[in-house]
Amino acid sequence: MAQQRQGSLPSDTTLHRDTGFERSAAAGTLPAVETEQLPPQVSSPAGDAFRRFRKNGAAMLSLSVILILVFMAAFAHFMHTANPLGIEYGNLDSNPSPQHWFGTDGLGRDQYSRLIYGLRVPLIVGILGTAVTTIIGSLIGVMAAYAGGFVDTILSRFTDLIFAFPAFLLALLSVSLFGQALDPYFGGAGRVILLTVVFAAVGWPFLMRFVRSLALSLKEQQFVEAARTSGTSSWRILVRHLLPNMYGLILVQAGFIVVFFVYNEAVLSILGLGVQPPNPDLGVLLFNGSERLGFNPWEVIFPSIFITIIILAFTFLGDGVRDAVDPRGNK
Amino acid sequence: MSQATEEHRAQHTPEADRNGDHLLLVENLRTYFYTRAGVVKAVQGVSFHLDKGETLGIVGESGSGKSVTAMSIMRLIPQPPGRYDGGCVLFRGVPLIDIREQPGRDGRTQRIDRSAPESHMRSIRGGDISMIFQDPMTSLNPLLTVGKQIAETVQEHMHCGRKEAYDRAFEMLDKVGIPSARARLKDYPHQFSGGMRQRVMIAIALSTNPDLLIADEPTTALDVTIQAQILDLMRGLSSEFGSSVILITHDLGVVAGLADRVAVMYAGYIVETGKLDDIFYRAQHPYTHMLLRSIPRLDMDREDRLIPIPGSPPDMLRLPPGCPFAARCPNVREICRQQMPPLDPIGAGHLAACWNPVKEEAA
Amino acid sequence: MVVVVYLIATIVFFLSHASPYDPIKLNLGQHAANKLIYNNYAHLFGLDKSEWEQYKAYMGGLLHGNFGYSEGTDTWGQPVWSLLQNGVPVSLKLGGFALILSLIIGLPIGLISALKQNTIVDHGSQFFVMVAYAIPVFVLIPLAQLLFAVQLRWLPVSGWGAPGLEGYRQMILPVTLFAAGLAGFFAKSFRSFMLEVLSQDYIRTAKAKGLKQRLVLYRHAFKNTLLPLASIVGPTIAFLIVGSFIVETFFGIPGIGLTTVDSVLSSDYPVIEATTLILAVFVVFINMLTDIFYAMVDPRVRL
Repeated sequence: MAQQRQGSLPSDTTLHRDTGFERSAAAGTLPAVETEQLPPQVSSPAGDAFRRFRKNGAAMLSLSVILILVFMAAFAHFMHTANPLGIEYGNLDSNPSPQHWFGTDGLGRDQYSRLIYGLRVPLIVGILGTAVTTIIGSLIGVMAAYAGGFVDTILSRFTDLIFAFPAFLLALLSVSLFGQALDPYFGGAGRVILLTVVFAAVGWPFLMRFVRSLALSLKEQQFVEAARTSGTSSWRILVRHLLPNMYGLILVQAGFIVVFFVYNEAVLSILGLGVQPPNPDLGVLLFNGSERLGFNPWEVIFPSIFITIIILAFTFLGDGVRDAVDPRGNK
Repeated sequence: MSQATEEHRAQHTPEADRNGDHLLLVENLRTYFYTRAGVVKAVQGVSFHLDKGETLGIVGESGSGKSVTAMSIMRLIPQPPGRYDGGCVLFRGVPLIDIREQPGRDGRTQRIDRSAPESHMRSIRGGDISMIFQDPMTSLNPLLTVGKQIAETVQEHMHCGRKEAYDRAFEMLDKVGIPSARARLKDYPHQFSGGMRQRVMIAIALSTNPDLLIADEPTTALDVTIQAQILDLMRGLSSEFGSSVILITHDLGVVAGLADRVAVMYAGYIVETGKLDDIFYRAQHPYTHMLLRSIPRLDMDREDRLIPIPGSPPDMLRLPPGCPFAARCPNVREICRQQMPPLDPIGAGHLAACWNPVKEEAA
Repeated sequence: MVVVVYLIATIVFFLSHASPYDPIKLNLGQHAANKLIYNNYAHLFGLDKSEWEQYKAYMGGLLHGNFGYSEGTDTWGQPVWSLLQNGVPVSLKLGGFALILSLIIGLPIGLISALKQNTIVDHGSQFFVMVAYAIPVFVLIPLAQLLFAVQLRWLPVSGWGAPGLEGYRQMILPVTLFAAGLAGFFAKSFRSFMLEVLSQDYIRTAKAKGLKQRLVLYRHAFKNTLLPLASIVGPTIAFLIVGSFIVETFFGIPGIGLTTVDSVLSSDYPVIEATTLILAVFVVFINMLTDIFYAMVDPRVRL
């Protein structure tokens, strides 16, 4: 690089005062300049984020825990030790034992097996529900932000309306009104589907607002202006420029939404409003357990532990993603 | 050591200055940052002095350590991860920072810290030494009125009542050229424009009649036209109040209009310092030289080219041994890569740190 | 705001009437097969009119403070308001105490944690916060009940409103547990607010002015930490509402939450509509208060 510059100086250059310095430059006798060595790793923001995430112990642990739980829930068929609905009159309220790892409940059912199956509903509602919520919310949010004007106003007002409504109440209402009707469909999983749909319907405004304000602030930044002036089409700007900047932050919000959904699903079940017994569900297990505190504390303890673990895991995961994506944070 | 160097050293040591000959004496200041990625030696053995009524310009690129030097004088560096690792800062003869290393009895070096207590620093900050910062938008508290932000400084340092403080605030606002100053006292920062906000900052800084005003890139965030106004204001007020000024900037043009003396910094070192004319017309350090070549000057011909400095500033986490400029220096020699040259006098009050300075030839 | 409330009421109404349940059938049980009884009932409660008629009647009634009549199994025919009116103050009391307690605990922890960032104090309190925040209240309650009420017999398992000392003893467990999750949330939030504020330039300026540490904190830092409050009002209210359902159900506290839950379980639509409406109005009201609060604190906001 230095060589080129030296060559391009006109030979009659006279800069203020002649110290021979400029002459060496013009004559090309300056020694070669060492240029900086490029760092060996190619660092993209995504790559950086992954690396940071991997270094975060708590986040990695949480991720593993969640994966294990999902695995257990998905393959509960192969992992249970006894029929989760099987009633064993001879063995009520027993303590943990080699046959019944978590003991049995008031009807003699194996707690461990029930728990494993019970993981399904919260995880489905949580993960699937969040996925749907995120997709819908992001799409609408980005549309509103990018279209601006009238479209934006309508979408925002609509969102605000739903947002103003206490989410939980709406979910509560919907489940109570339609829950029983849907039970016969989908092989008993009707309620779960309903829950997922309802939560998603109730949760997307939150994400929409977040994405919208994020997109708005990004839209104003110069790199968008640069893209537009160079003739990039709107669609391209959206996909190639705006979205990649938002993935990380959206993911962070999604993490917290999962926690919210899992929590609320459990609340609904505990109150007897969600999945109904005898279908196993963590919330239902807790519901049953809390009624029989005096007789069998184990019924409460194990579901409690598992629910707490799920919530903790997703919380740490969310924190971990946030720290990975935005290390300038306050830690 | 040459005789000139010896004399210079003798004149500018902490011991010599206990009499307070210089308003501010910085000797061998070292400020390091201990981060997880490594140690950043932001200020490495910086020495300079400032006398009453003088304006010193500290010039350098981002990362050269100029801001850290200023913050160190005020002892505002956050202590983890920063640390004052050595050197002295004497203000009116009193050591604000005084950290020396001595070989201890057990063979390891002992760190002796005779720096002033924090309470003393607090009375100095804002009272005897004031500082204004680069971005006036964020440097003012959005929730407090402008009058309050001036008056609280006055109340703190001049121990007067509310009314006197606000009167003084009005006086200052007027002096810095804010129209309708009395009414404006009750306004909030967001009701002022950028240039006016910087004027407010100046008002705050000078309201306590400080001996020293440190201005860290005061005009960088402002329009060029406003820049000139602010610089004029600073010049006028500092001479009126009799304050000395340390002006930190990356812009040589800013320095040319205001400074009596200049110090050029690179990668934590002062590489050249001297009177304004010495630096602009008789620069000897290659970096200073190249810096001057890279900016446009009124007395250039139209065909003249600006020559940017090749290469890029060093990674402060991985500084090579020797002179940090060696990688980009056209005058580099073998010794440059091994040992950092000392800051030696090359003229009256003109020092440069170079093994192979640019020598003047007859024009 | 009025528009929102109106819309909410409408939505709730139509939703509940869209349900496939038939409240009359539910309540009459086998008698519903008898057409005469069925029609009489329907006529008595205006349930034989068209949807639109019912809607108008309902809205009209609302404006007069008439929420209609209960359709619950035990409470059929009672004016809804009479069922609710006792619940409102109870819930307010429970929620109010919990909120205050959580602020008293959470705020200082959060702020101190930020000031002593990365010290033992910080890490310790962050751990405590994590525990309080992550363990769901419906987990804490059975466990706490198990420990304190059943095993140790220090506190009553449930109940509310007993006169004198017993009344206070009854309040301890529900209020404390209710406050626990919120306290953790507040601590976490305020810590990050404070840290954000402390890293701002104007704090640097304040320090450079040589102001006393305490002055810097109170006048410059603290006021600014109140600004991000809006971001936590939403989740706080959500927690208060959901939490009240749980706490009231588990402890048998006769508040709005319990009433709502019961009404849902017994398909008592008028009550459901009423409680939902009340809660929704509450949320809107709090949001309005927040806006006013901002206008007062932040000079950049104009009402």
